[in-house]
Amino acid sequence: MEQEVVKKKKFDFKEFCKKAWYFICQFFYKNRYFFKRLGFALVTILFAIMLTFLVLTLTPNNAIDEYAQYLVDTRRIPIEEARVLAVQILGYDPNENVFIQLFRYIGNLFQGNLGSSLRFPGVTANSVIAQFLPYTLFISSIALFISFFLGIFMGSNMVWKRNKIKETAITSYIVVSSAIPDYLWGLILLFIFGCSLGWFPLTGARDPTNGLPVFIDLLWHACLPIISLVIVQTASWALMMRGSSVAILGEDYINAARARGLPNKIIVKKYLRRNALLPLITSIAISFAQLFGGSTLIESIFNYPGLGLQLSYYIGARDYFVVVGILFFTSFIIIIANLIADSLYSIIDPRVRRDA
Amino acid sequence: MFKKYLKKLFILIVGFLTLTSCNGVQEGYEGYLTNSGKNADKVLRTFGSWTRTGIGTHYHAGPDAGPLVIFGLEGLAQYVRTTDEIVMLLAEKFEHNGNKTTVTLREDAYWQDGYPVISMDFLSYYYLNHNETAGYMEKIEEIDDKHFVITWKDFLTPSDEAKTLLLAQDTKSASVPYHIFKDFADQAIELTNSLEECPVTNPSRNAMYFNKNWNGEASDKYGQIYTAFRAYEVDGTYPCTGPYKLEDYNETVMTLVKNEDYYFADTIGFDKIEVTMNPTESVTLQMLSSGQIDYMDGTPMKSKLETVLAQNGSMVHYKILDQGTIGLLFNLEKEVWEDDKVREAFQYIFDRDMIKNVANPYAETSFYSMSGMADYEAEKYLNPDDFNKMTLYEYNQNTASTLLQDAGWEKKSDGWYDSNNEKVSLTLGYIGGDPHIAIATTVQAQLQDFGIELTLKSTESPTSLLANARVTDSEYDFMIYFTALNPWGSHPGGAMKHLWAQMDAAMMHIPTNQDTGRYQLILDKANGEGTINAFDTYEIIYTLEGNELREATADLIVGFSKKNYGINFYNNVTGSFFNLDTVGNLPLVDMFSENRNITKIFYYDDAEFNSLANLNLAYTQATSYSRGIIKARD
Repeated sequence: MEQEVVKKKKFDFKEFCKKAWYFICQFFYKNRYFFKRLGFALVTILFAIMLTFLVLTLTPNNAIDEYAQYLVDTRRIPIEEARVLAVQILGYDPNENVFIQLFRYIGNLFQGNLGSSLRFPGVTANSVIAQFLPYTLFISSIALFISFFLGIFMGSNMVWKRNKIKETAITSYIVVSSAIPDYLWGLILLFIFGCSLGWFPLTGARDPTNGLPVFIDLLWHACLPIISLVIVQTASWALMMRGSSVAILGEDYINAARARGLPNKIIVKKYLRRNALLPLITSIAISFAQLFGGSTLIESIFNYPGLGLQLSYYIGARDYFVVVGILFFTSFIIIIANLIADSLYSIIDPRVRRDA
Repeated sequence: MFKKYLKKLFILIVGFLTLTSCNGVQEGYEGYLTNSGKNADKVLRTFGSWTRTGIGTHYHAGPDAGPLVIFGLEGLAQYVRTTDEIVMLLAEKFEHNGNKTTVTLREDAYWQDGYPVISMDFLSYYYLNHNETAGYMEKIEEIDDKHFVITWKDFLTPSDEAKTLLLAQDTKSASVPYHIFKDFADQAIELTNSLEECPVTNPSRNAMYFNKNWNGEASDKYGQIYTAFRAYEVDGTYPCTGPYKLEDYNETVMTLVKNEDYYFADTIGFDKIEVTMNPTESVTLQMLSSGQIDYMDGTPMKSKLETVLAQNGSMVHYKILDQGTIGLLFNLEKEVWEDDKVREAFQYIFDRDMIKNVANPYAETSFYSMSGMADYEAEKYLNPDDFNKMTLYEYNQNTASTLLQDAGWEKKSDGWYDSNNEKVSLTLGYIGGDPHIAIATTVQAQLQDFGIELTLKSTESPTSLLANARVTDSEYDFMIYFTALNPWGSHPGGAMKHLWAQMDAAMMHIPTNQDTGRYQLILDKANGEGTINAFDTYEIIYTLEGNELREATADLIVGFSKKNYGINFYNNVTGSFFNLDTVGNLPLVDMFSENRNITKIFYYDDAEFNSLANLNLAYTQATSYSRGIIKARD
């Protein structure tokens, strides 16, 4: 009896390894869907970096040209001389092999440096993101939040109250708002509320000279950009919600609820809207990630200092490393969000996982 | 019921938009001299741009401080673009004596951190900034804190007029305070002094800074010093000496306040300047229309300009010459331009009046080929006999056809074929913005009407245009750009600098010497007796004066014009918007009391010419504001 106990207590390394290996294999097998997605995500990120880097560096007109032109303007020296000087000052050789530049860049990425500016000492993609992303997220996330809830409200109401004036009105709104791009809405709003009525500022994100509390000032400046985004985004959410709600409408539990004489409000709120919302949850994750890239046109029209506007500036200045850094950051967020959305979907609907 | 409500709502919206968009008509402004204004706080609201990530801690750091540079930084003197006026600023006087210039600084000039402005500040600037003026210098020596002597290269001493102009062109030479950048300045001076003199045989001798032999090693050392200087972070006040100080800025707004310690403090025209970061063009026009901006430079397209003036009854717009000519520059690397007759034929193809009217109806059509100098400038600098030697090309497609046929071209049913019997199809490069888009499309329409196929290639900026044009085998056959420009006073050296040293010559692929890389273009002299090497003559143009200068300018201008290397379309005019409610002391009151769109263009001989040049911030920097030429209307 004692011998048996001793035997049991003895640690069997071989057995342990076997079990561990089995456990690992099982873990990977069970989560193969997730790991496959992760692999795809990593490859996509790598391709995103390579493509943006190569496209930018192979385009005529580089950072040296831009800086040389600045030297020509300020020092009144010949363009050829300015180019030589620009290479010396910026320490960047545009004739260096592009793949060597790319590998060096990827090496820096592993150290957490998304890219240093060629033009401005001390400015990095990290600092640009840290400075301007909050502005972008401020308007975009508020717009997403409002448009999402307005959209699901409109979409479900359209389905529930078919052939009524409300549906016609909402449909008309969707047609008009989705046919006109957000930047055009921006211009219309600017003209009416900024220029003619003077209720809102025409440009910027804040103005210390107006004496308003900071948050109120930020909100006041953000109103028109947010409304422009909401007008267009609401339409797409409403359409998605409508499609999802139509599918739900024929379900037995809706008919049962009706038969039980439940009030329409409760049926819409608890049975229709909640169930129709499920497919939209994954979309919102992706939409949220897309916010990180900013809305360049809207930011440009309102002169709103977001990440999108900054990205366009650095593209113009051919400041490659900052551009690639920002693009890498936004691609990374979108890819990760896609990964999360896919994973969530596979949890909600196991058939997806099994098919994989 | 609901439909009726919708209809009412629709009518209401349409009515509102109509009313708000037509709330005024373009008319005059009365009571400017008799009534009081609306600017008791003396604030000027304008546009500007600066680096959003931060303006850096000093001018040479890399980022652009925009309005702070314009209103806060200055130099020894300031030239006024288009006129020959020189405004003495930190320098009290320049005394020229042969190849030496003694500079006397103001006693009452201070940096905004309280330190006095001294001679070493300017030695620091010139030895750290290898610019055009330093290329003419042999050395600079400090006499005492308020005096220093510039010795010019004995073989390249500018004329007295040009010496002053070159110093005044360095509009931001007070940007390297010695008390802050001593280490870098000392290193740069020491490096320069340690170098050998530039050998007489060096083909680039004229351009060598301080007449030293800047070989590869020396240039690398200079680059290291400059890079370290650029990266240095100043602790405290942004180094300035000018009439305005930085109060605050963020990504979209910058506020500047009057510098009470400035030597012209009593005459500063505004107490505060509020600058909004340049928005898109449509928002810019909306802000002007709604009276949120007091001043802006530029002349938008006619319809846009008239809309602003119609919507804002307090806004006036002046037109000002910009010493620039817009037209076509040929890429001489292309085979199509090898034949003189083809280049001449193209001068006759275009209806230049139509192009001018589409692009900028306030401008003046030019009927000359590209000369490198605006017509009215050439008229001023050339003897009348020489000026008349330039050929006037009236619109005449028959003459163009005859010349092309002489060159071996043939017109078939589907268009023109060149002497190799290949169908002619050209590519035009241009900057994608107003007014270049309008010019490009009109050129395309006129060429197609004549029988030549044209592909348009738009690019985003002048730098991109240059980058695309200057490469070997560029896709552009010709480009729309300035065929002449002189933003550096009215000396001919300025116009020639634009042609030879900046974009034009590089874009046009003007032939170069294989060994030296220098431009190699031989031109017939204007008097018909012999030839000149154009680039060699350009390099010494600031050393010439009087009749010598006139003759050399004529050789360059007439000689280049005879080559037909490009086509002038129109002599450009720019302009300025001002809010009459808030800005005082503005000229041409009689004219704007009748019509606020002042379309009359004033030339050198007109009495109003100088006062108009003083209106443009790009022409005068802050001097119009510091001298009270433009001030608040309170």
